[in-house]
Amino acid sequence: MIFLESIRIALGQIWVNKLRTALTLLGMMIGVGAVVGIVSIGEGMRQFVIDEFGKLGGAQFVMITPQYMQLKDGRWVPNPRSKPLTMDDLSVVEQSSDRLAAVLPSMTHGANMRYRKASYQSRAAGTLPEFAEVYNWEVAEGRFLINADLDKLRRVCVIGQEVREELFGLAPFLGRELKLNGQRFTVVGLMEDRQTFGEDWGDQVLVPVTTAQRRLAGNKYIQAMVAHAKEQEDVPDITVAIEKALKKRHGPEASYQIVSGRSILEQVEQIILLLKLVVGGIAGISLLVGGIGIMNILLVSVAERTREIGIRKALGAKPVTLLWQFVIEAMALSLTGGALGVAAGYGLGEGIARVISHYSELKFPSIVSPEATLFVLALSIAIGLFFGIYPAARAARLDPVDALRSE
Amino acid sequence: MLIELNGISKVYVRGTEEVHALRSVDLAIEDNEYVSLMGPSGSGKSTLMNILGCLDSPTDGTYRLNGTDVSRMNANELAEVRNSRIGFIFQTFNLLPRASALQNVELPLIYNGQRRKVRRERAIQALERVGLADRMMHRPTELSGGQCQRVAIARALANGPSLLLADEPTGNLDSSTGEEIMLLFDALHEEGNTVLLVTHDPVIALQAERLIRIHDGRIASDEQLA
Repeated sequence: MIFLESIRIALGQIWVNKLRTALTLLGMMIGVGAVVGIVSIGEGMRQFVIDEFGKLGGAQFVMITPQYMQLKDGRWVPNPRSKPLTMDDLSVVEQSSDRLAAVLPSMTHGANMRYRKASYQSRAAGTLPEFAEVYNWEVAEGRFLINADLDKLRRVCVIGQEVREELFGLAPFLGRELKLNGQRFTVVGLMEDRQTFGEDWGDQVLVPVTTAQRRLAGNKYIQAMVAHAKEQEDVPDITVAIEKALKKRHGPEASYQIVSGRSILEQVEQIILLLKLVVGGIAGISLLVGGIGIMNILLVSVAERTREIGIRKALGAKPVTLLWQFVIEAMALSLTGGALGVAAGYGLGEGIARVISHYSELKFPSIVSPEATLFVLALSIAIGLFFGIYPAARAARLDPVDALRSE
Repeated sequence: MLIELNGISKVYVRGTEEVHALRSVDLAIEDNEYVSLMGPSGSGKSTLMNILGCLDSPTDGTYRLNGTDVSRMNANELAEVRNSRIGFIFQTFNLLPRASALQNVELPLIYNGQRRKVRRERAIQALERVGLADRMMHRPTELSGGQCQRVAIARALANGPSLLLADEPTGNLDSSTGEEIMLLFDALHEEGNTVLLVTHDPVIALQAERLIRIHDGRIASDEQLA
């Protein structure tokens, strides 16, 4: 009963001093807004990275590359303990664990492409038929590579959107022959448009890995392997199994660089978390300033209303009742400021996300989760409580006789 | 016995100097008495009133109100006593300026924990008793001095207190309005209320049935009036 009355009195008081209230709220709002805005951008970035990783087959890939070493003169050369990888290594890795969905070779070769008068300088990638499925990249027209293409070392290719545009324009392309570094390849398919991390996939030509080795590279090597786990949890075990299998094949001295998508994602998440904490912490300081503003205004309010406090005490208001009255006033101020701040922070995050999306290839959203919103509102109330308790205690402790005498 | 003071002393420390505001005061007041308390400023009159009103605690001695010792009570207990046993009426009315007459009278009922409906009823009753039924929604700034003091009296009556404690209730009013207020006190006394008037005006003081004079922190005289 008295509690409800305290809320009514507090809200009434807030309404009476509108300008003062507005200025106090502004302080709180800026603090909360800055925190919410920065956290929402951080969360948006995190989501963006996770989504883009999803397009790369999720965080469940493991990349195996030969190691390099730096010589004294500064040059990087292949590490002798890390023999170049071949398709036989790929088979060994494939059999190292039953929890692998696929193992793909990575073999990219600079390519000069020609079709009639048009030419385009880009890259050709030697790969397997599983590639399209693993990366969830759909064929737009024609077909993807098939096992028979690899077995027979067929000179066929599947082209990206960019390649098609540069070489064929709007002209028909299926079944046509283009020249890759002077060799004839028949176009059998066209891939859908696709980007990850703002990078276009459409500038490449996909050819059977076997054909690429024979016709483009002229050797039997592949640059790297990318193994895809069925489940993300299996990644650490698979990493160990692959390392073991490679040592078994190349001897105990063999050493390859094995990096998992999970570890990359974890690093990125750590960086973003750190960013959120550091910048959010700086923004949190303005929240502190907002809280001090509330404390200041309440001290003024208590001083101004000393006589009123005296009257209330004479009429039987207990110290604890007056304590609540002022604490509630502080919490009402901070909660209102916090709620406005959440709205402002949402707008700020959205604005920054739009600006970044507009000026760069990184299209990421601003995300304010319900949990974060509740947390910030609870934090606002806590700030009101923390900074309100001292002025409120001062009001509660006032001597009724002195308070009634004050003007 | 409504009020029983035994050896009440009050010592203030002002700087390094001790001020003896009250020196071993003994006083007894029965139910339904009508008492005036007179004395020059600095006599200890205000201190005595604050102690009687449970706004202040004595340094020494005991104070029984309705048989309960209130002299050693803590701040919360004193607040309860003020709320339910004492009705204050001040020279400057001490109404909340932004609240209506009705809301002002409701205040002690709120601190008494009364439900909304009950306190509205009782506040209206109290305002009707002081003849302000038609001014309930007005704010103090929209009321005359006499009307303000009536609101304050209604507020003092709201919780049915044992003691009405009036400190110079006519001090801020013109003489004819002051007389009206004094007639109201007479009537309240007739109805069974115990009234204690604190004043330095002999004309006002003589309207009571008993006159206590205080001087230098001691009771100088205590006489029944005709």
